[in-house]
Amino acid sequence: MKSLIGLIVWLLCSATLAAAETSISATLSESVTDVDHPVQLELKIENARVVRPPTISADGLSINFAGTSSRTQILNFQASSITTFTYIVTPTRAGDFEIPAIEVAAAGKVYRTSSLVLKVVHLNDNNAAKPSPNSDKPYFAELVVPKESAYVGEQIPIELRFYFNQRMQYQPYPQGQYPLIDGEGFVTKKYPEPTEKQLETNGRVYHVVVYKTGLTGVKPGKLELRSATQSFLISMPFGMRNAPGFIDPTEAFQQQVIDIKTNGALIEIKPLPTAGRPANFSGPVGDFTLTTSAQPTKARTGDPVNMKVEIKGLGNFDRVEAPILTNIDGWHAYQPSEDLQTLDDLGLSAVKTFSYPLVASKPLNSLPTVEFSYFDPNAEKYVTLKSSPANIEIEGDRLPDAAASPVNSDASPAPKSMPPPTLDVLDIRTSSPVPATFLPLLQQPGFWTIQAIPAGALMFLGLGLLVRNATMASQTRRALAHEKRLLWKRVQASNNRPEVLQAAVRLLELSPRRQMRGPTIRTQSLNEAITEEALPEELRAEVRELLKVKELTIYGRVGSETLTEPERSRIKALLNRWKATA
Amino acid sequence: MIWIRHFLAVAGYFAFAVPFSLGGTTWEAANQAYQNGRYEEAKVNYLQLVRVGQYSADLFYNLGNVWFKLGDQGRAILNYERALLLEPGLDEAGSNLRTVLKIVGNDDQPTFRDRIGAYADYFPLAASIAFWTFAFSFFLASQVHERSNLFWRRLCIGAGFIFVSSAGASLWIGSGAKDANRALIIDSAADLKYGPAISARTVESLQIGQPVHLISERGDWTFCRASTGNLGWILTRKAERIIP
Repeated sequence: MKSLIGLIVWLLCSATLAAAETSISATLSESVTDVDHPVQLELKIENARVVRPPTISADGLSINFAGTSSRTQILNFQASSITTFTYIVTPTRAGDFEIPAIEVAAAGKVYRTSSLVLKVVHLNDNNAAKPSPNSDKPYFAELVVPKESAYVGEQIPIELRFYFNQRMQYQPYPQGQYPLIDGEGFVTKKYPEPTEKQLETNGRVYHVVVYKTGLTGVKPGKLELRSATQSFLISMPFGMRNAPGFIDPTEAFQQQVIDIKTNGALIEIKPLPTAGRPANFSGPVGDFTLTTSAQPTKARTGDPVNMKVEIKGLGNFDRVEAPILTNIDGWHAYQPSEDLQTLDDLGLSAVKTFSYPLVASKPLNSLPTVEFSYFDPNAEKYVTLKSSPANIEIEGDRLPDAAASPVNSDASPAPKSMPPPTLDVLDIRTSSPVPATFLPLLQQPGFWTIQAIPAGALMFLGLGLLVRNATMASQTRRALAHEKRLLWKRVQASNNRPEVLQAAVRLLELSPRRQMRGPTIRTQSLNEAITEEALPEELRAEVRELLKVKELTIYGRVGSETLTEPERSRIKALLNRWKATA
Repeated sequence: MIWIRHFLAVAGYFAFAVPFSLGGTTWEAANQAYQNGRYEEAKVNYLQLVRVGQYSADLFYNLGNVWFKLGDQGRAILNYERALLLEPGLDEAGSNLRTVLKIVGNDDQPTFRDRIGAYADYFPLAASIAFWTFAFSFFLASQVHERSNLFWRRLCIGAGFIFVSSAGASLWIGSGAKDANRALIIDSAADLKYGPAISARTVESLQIGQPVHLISERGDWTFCRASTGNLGWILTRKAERIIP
């Protein structure tokens, strides 16, 4: 039984795991570093079983495998597993390095990550890694700026490092407070959560809290960063008298809030050159690549095609705007949607994707091309990237339409004879609007009010029927009582014998002894009453005698025509007894 | 007593006359602005009508057109859906909705339940008519003892069957498309996350125009169920309720 349950659970898990889609991704802990500081590369593989970490190599970088971690979770009945391979990337020299796409084989398929860019800089005079003046202090801070000069709009990754003696306890005060940089003429990116690590400086090991951000000069000239300050709540042993590494359990701690200031730095912010500036330059500064793709690759005229333009690299992605489409003859392009996927903590390295909805108005075999311009601060010149016209198969008839493309219509004017078609909507309605409500019908009071009409009608009908039945029943009763009264009068007053006999028999008929049950309820006939067992024998004989006399008198003309009083008395007595036994 | 009569007359005027006259002028002004290509002005006027609660299928249809012209396909889809909710037979709204969904690349077919949900109000109506037909024909069948009795009996059985079916369907669908917690994705890059944080893992990416069922809100995040059945968190501003 247990093995059966186990088998079912295993089958369920396998089924859900099999349903999940496999994906892999690679990220760097930092996209900019200096020669002395290694960075971490994480390769994440989702929903696939990979045991051996792939070998990764890149020119100018030493990449060593550091460890594996894996995690499995089931959420919403959807199982997923993540295997993470961690590598340490150590730069061997300064420069821009590309870690090529990493290939991983899983379940008979080969998956590829996107390539990564790592910028390695030399520490310069702005770098305050000069610990000698601080070496005796229990805490100090430094501002690490990797460049002495930059262009307006260029993002400079900076680090604010706060060093603490190993025996100290510390935390930012108040919690969630980030360092303030003293200076003007720059903007910074939002700080990610600080990282903590141990660093050896001047022969001593310190706990270091590292805040990273990206700094951008907004105007040309000398940019002076006077200092950066952060408050910490620290707990420090009185006197810090013991040798480092020695813990005295009797030692008392003092707690205080301190402001720790970093050193300053000077950066020369250069203006972007005006010479050679492309007309479509919107302000991106950095190093970018451009790729395009379309889905589907085969369609008919009038069908939407989604063209994706990916801009990837290192730079100020907030200034990367939708690239201009060129060669759009025969295409109608709509406003693109955009999506930004950051590849590091700061968002300096990222991929920005623009999705252009396109509609072809005639048979075509190539997509529009894309142009994107940026300023490369390393090459110190403007670069314009152009995509090659990707192949696509558009079949069908030429569509008649005269509207102009709403996107980049000035980039490539369409032929005047046949402007590109547009998917437009039908015109508005101008007739007087009919008020309506979003309330569900069952919650509308009107619905329930209307139900009262048929309910009332039905009640009225039922009531009417009741009254009619009651009226009819009382009429019958009244008529019967009236007839009985007349017959009694005849029995009591008439001397005509046949008439009295007939009235007596009729009175017997109108006074049924009981009602008969059958398919319908009906009144008992006189013959049935006579044959009834419960009727006294003497009475039965007298009734039969009466019937016989009546038939002889009326049909046989036997006997006198005049009723005698004794006979009347007998008849009356019979009728009373009949009534009494009913 | 005279002042009470005056007060009631003035209150009645403001309660009935002012909203309608305001609605009339704004409606015409909005239509005029749209036809002259002043879409921003038309949008403001249409939204004013929505704010005062003068809902109509035509109003939401026109508002959908304005959002489309302003390049906001998500809100265009939302308003076409609203127009169809108020008037399921509005062909123009259906046609424009299909066009915009095509443009945004949303080719998800609605589920059977969603399709029926658009007609959720018709089921209680059918159940109500069938119930009363059943009741009256039952009454007549019990009273008439002639040849027509067979007709009333058959009508009674037929109406009873329709009543049970319609009432069952109505219970199954509930409020249908008029569910107050039904919303549409109106913005691109709307990811359904495992937790209420940007850094949380993505369950699935939701397309513009995709319906979601809102469950609860926490800060800027809303816990919801996607049309695929997946549960997760989305940024509240990425989705808007269909019932305004």
